[in-house]
Amino acid sequence: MTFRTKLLFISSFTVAGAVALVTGAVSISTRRAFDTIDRERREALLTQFRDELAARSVEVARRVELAAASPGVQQIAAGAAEYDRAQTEAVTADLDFLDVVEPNLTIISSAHWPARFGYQNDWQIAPDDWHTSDVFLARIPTPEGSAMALMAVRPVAGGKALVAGGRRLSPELLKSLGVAPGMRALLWLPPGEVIDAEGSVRDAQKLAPLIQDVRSTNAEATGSVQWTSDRRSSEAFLALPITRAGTLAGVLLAGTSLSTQLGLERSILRTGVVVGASGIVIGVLLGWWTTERITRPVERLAAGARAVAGGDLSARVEVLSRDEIGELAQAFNRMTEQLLEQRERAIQAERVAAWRELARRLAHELKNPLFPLQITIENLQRARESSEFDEVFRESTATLLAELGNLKTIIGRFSDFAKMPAPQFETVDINEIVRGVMKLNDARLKAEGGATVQPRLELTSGSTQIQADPDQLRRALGNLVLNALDAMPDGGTLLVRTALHDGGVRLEISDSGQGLTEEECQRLFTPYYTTKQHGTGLGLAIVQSVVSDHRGKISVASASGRGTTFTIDLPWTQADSLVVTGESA
Amino acid sequence: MIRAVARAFLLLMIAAAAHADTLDEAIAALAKRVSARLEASETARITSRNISSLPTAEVAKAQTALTRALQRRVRNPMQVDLILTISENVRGYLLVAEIRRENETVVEMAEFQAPSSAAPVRAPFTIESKLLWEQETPILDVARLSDSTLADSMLVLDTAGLVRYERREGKWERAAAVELPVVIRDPRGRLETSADSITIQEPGTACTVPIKMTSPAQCEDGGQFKATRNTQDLHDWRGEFFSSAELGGDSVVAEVDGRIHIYDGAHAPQAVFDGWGSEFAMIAACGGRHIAATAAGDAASSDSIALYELANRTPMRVSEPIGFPGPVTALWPAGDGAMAVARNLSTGKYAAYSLTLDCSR
Amino acid sequence: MRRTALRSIAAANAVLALAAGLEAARRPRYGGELRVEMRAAVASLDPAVVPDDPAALGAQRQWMPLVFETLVSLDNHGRPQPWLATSWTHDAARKAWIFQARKNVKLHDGSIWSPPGGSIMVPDDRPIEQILRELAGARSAVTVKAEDGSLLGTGPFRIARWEAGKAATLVAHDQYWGGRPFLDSISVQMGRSLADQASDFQIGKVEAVEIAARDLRAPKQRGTTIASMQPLETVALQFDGGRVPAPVRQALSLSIDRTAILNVLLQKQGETSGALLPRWLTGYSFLFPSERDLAKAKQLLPAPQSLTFGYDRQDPVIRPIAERIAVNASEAGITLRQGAGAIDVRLVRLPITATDAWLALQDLTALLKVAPPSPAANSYESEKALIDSSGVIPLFHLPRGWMLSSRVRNWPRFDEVWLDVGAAQ
Repeated sequence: MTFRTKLLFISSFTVAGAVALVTGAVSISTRRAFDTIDRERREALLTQFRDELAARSVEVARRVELAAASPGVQQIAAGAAEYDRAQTEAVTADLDFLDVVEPNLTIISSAHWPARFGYQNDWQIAPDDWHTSDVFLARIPTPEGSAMALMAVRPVAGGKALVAGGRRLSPELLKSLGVAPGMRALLWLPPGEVIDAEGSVRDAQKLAPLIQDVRSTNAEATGSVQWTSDRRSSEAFLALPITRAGTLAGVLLAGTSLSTQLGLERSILRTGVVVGASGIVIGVLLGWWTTERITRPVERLAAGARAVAGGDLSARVEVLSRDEIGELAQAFNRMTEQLLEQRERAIQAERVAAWRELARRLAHELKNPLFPLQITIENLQRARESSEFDEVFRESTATLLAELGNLKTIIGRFSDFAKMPAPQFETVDINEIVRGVMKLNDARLKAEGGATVQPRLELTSGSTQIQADPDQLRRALGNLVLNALDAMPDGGTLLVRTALHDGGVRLEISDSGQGLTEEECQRLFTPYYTTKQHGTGLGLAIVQSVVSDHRGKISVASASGRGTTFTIDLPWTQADSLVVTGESA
Repeated sequence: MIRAVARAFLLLMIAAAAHADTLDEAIAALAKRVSARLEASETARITSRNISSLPTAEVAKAQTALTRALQRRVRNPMQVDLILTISENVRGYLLVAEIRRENETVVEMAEFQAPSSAAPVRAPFTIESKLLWEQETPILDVARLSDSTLADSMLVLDTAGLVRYERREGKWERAAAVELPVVIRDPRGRLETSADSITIQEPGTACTVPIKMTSPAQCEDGGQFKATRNTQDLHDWRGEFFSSAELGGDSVVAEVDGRIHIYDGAHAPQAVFDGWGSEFAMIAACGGRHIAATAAGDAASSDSIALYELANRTPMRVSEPIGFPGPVTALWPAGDGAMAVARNLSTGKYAAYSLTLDCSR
Repeated sequence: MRRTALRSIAAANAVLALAAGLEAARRPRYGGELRVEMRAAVASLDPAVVPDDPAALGAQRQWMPLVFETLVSLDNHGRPQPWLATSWTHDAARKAWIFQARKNVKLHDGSIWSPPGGSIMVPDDRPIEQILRELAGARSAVTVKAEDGSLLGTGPFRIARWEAGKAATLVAHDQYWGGRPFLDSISVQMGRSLADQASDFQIGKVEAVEIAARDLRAPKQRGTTIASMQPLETVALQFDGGRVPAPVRQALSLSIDRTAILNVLLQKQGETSGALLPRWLTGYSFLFPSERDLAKAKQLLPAPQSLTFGYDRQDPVIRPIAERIAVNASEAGITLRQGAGAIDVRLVRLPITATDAWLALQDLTALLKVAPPSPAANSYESEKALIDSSGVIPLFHLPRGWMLSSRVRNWPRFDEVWLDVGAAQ
């Protein structure tokens, strides 16, 4: 991750975090405020309902008392009226229900269900309720099912009969309550009817958990219900049990719509998001401007460092400011200048060293054939005066020609090394080249003078086709094989291994000779450096040149007495190089 | 023309009745059919019930006759239950025999005519009425005093009070009076006399005056008539009623529902019928007890009183009705007869009549 | 039963009294139009047309004899009496009966009714009782087609105006063989609910209206008369098709507390019965059980049942009975619910249209859409078979009640009815 990216993230998170905290705090405060207000309103509604219920109870009791005292009901009680007379009396008394029953609860006349005369009045209330003066809730069976009602019971004609009258508990009761906008009152009536001011409530089963809570604890409970998939349909409820003699007669629910609160919370959240996003954008922009001022010079510095690492000591960083970054850039530039100078001096020194080494080697190589030449010519000068001049002349000329041949060979090697051609790349199979070189050196491997070198090939089964110059590769490999053989004068094992490695093919040539010292490893690839008694010292230099031309790497690992392993890594392809397609040589 | 046709109709009807089965013939026919339905080894165990107007004696006779007709000698008899029901339909009487076996019930029937049912009802008694008194004010009750110390006196209870009249020189003259006003629609009242006092029953009050009516009436609340009503209320099992009479162990009560109810000695309801007015009185005369009852009319029409007996708790008229010029407003037992008060629709006056039975027919 | 018998006997006596010249206290007055309203809507008085609606059938049977007469008529005891035929005898081969036509019978257009040869031959070798009974039935009424296609009758009234199902006016047949009726005309309004009839009566628009059986005991208002006739209607549960299995029908019948309904809803006007025909007609109605047995009803039902229940909600007699039956049935596990579509069971009023059991059954089989009774069969067996085959459950026999203006005399013999102008309105 770049410095700029880190800076941008930090600034963004800072802004976003601050906005989120503020938004969260505001939301929580808002919610608490709403909860408090709603709770107060619901409690006020519940109080209003209780008062209304009490007032209606008083009214029901009064009407039932009037009905009980009326001549019509007394006639019914005396059996002197028609069976359906209670209907008329109920209308007169403005009651929805009016049953006149005998003391044993046998119905004499029923207003709401005239056909039930003669049956027991089997409401779901205790027999004692027939003798109470309270007004109570009861579920009254009707031809259409049943209905909840506020009921009162009064004796008729000194107890010869009883009259039970009441009014239906209808949505009208809830409608009469003054509720604030967004609020409503619901009534749950056993066994499971739920009504509000408009009538039966749809999806009332969603209130079941809250109502069950009240039923099981017989105490107040709160909860909320989401009516549809839209969260704004949620409604918070305060549920209050309506009990009578310890039995639950109903549950009153005061509900407040949460749509306003949720809408406000959503608005707060939206604002927070907008502000946060804006903050992030501003932060990003600010951060980008800031980092632009800081990271661009740093990047330039980094680019310059990479260029220098890549070998371009001429890389320079543009200095645009006078601050610390500018000073750093100037220091960098000075450093690269110094490095350049040092490299040039080093190159110069290496060149001088190389020339000295070449001169030394050349002197050494040339000295050998030149001395016999000198001796031979001196012998000829001496033999001119003797009788053995012809024989001496013949021997001397043969020796001269041989030593001149050696000189030509030495000079040829140097010439070859000097004018090694550019590689001609084509697709070649390393394994095939290895097999070819080993076959070529087969005779040498099978002993010259008794010491056998055991060849071992561990060639990978994968494809080892790379883009390379086959001739140069053979030459390089041939040199390495020869070096390995030279390192095992008493025999040994020559291991040639190929393997696939990341990016190309790896070639290893290992011998079991006496090994090299560390100094020798370091100087191994220097031209004309050799550990052999004879040799130009160019073999490994050629190998290194070939490997370098193939953009590969060569390394050596050795330890004294343990043999030496040369490792060459060659890439699959040679990008930007001319690839000659054709058969490999 | 219609009369000629109707006479022909009458003749035909009587002729048909003459050819209808009698009870004996019906029993014989039924026995024949039942025998055909019984298995050879079966004998019938007969129980009977009567849901017709046939007298009980006839029913017993029918059962005996059927039992005799179905007698058979059977070795190892298997008894089956046979229920004989005497019923009645539009054509006459019906004998229904139900042979009840375990898995089935077989039914056989036979019809017959009761010879007397088709004929017009004969009237063995005659009611004679005699005008006692007439006045403008509604009369509640009238009683003749037979006490020799008071000469020929008559007490008239009306809505103003009680007046005692004495007959002097062939005319009734007012002798004494006690004010006992009754302000009520359809007022009722009753006089009961003893050797030395008169008890006056009016709605909600019972008063007593000396027989000579020399001192004011002593009244107390209560009495046999309900206060402010035209009903009687003796605070017993009958509750409120208009009229009541005991006959043959049964109580006949004209109840406030407008119908006549008959209760047995245990006060259990036995029958209900219509066709009488609200006034009736029991008359014990001519060796029997009868009920004189008004017709079921209304105050806007003329009324009549006829004599009835109860047969199986069903009223049977035993006299021709005697008519009155208006509704009968009171009818009380009086000695071996009755006292009736009727309003004359034409004159608007109230007249009291003494009713007696002519036992000569 | 006894008072019913007495009533029928009294009616017979009343007829006798009139016929023998034993006049009542006041002599009848000629003239006037009797205005009558009724619930039933009768489409036609044509004897060949048998209405499907029970109320219409009952009304048609009541009114038809005023216009179309039969050779033989049944008296109040169900006995056939000469009417348009004065006598009958069988032919020499005893294969046919020859009925002598009454002479000087005028049709409504004034022409003489004269069957060929002055007699009507009925080829039938059945017992004469069966033949006479059939000839007394409404379907055997004598009709003559007029030139304009209308039907002419011989009855004491002729049809002056007929609006099918709505209204009719019958005017006196001046040349009626039995003497012109007292009334000039009878105007009938049909299809009127009991409530509408009562209110029309209140305002003096009519002289005779129907009242519900339970109102027979209601206190009558000044200037009115309540007339009730012996049970002429059977209230029954009729099942549609074979959808309801027999055990369910039986369970329903056993669950109904007929006594409570009769005592309370019907104010003891009528009688409970398990028979189609009332006891006054047959005498054997007690053979059909009608007691409530809730325990047995529950035993018959393996599981709760639900049936759609149809009844006329506008009928003040039927509706409370139906509601009570629903309550009774629920105790046995049968739910009677109102619903649209196919009705499983209906509460209906079946008219008793004749004083002969066989004739009455004939009309009932037509209403219940089952095969008519065999003339030779015993009426008890026929009735039993009819109940078993149709699945009908008889419940009550109700009297027909009328509220009459006090002006109306001699109700319900329409040929004898007269209007008393002197009576208070």
